Amino acid sequence: MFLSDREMLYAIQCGRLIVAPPTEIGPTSIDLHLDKVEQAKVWDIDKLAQHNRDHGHPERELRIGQCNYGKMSQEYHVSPSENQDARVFCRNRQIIVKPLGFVLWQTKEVVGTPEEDADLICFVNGKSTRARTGLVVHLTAPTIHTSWSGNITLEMVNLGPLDIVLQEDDVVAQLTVAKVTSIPKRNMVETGSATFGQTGVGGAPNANTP
Amino acid sequence: MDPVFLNCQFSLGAFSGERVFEVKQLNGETYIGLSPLHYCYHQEGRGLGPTEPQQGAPLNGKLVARKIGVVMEGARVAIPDGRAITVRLDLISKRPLGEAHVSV
Repeated sequence: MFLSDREMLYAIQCGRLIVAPPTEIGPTSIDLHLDKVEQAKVWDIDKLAQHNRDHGHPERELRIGQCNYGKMSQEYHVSPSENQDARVFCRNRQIIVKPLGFVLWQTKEVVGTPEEDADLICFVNGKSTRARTGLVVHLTAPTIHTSWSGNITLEMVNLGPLDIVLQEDDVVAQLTVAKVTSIPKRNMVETGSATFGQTGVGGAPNANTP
Repeated sequence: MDPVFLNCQFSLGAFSGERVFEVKQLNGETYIGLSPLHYCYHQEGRGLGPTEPQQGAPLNGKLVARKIGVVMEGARVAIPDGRAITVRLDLISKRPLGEAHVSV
C-alpha cells in the first residue's frame, strides 16, 4: 500500500522515512531535486578506451559481468566538459543534454529508511511532464529497499528531439513510498543477494577489467 | 544480524554523497565498493566529513556493516552496496545501533 502525504509526513517525523533536506511532499510523492552541477557526471570514454586498448579489448566494450562498478565510478565518471560537440556538455552552470546524451546526476536529497526495523520501501520515478520532453530519468533499478538511505544517482537519457537544459534544483524525479507487509528478515544475504537496502552494484574485482 | 564496523580504506567517489571503500576479503582478494557517505567513519568513530578523504589521499576507516554469521576463520558481512562478503574476524568490531542514521 502506498503512503499518502499525511502518512509520509508522519513517517518522516517518526524517523521511519528519511528525506533530508526536507522537500515538497505531493499527495502521494516527494519531489527530488538535482544536486549542484558538480554532481553531474558522464563517462570518460577516451580513458576507458585507452584502458581497453592497454588490455587488448575492443575500445568501446564494457564487460558488465566482470567490471567492478566502485572502481569504475571512481576512475571513469567525470564532470561534463565545455566541449559543445559532446552529447552532454556544461555551459554556465547548466548541463546541456543533446539527443541520446547520457548523464548521471546525484539528487540533492538523501532518502531511504533507517537501518533498524525498516518497514517502508521507496521507489524513484520520473515525472510525466519531463518524460514528454524525452527525458528518461532513472532507467532501471528504481527500488530503494528497506534499511538503506543515501543520495540517489539518477541515470538520465535524452530520447527527445531537442537539447535539454538541466541545472541545480531542477525537479526531475519523485519518490513514492510503500509499506512492506512485515519487517524483512534479510536472510537473502546468505546467498549474497541484495542486502542493506539497495540493489547491488558491486562485482568481482578483476585487474584487467575496469 | 549484528551491527558491526568493518575496517576498510576510503577514497573519494564520483559523487559527493558516496565514497569508494576497499576491503581485504578472507580469500585475499580486495573488494571495492561504493557506500553512501553517512555509512563511512573514521577509525575513532567520527563520521567522514563532506571533504574527506582528500583527493588522492585514501584513509583507513570503518564502514557500517552487519554480521551475518561466522564462516571458517572469517565473518560473513552485509555491506552498504548490497553485497555480502567474507572477511577476517579481526577486521570487524562491535557497533552501537543508531550511529548510521541520517538525522531528519
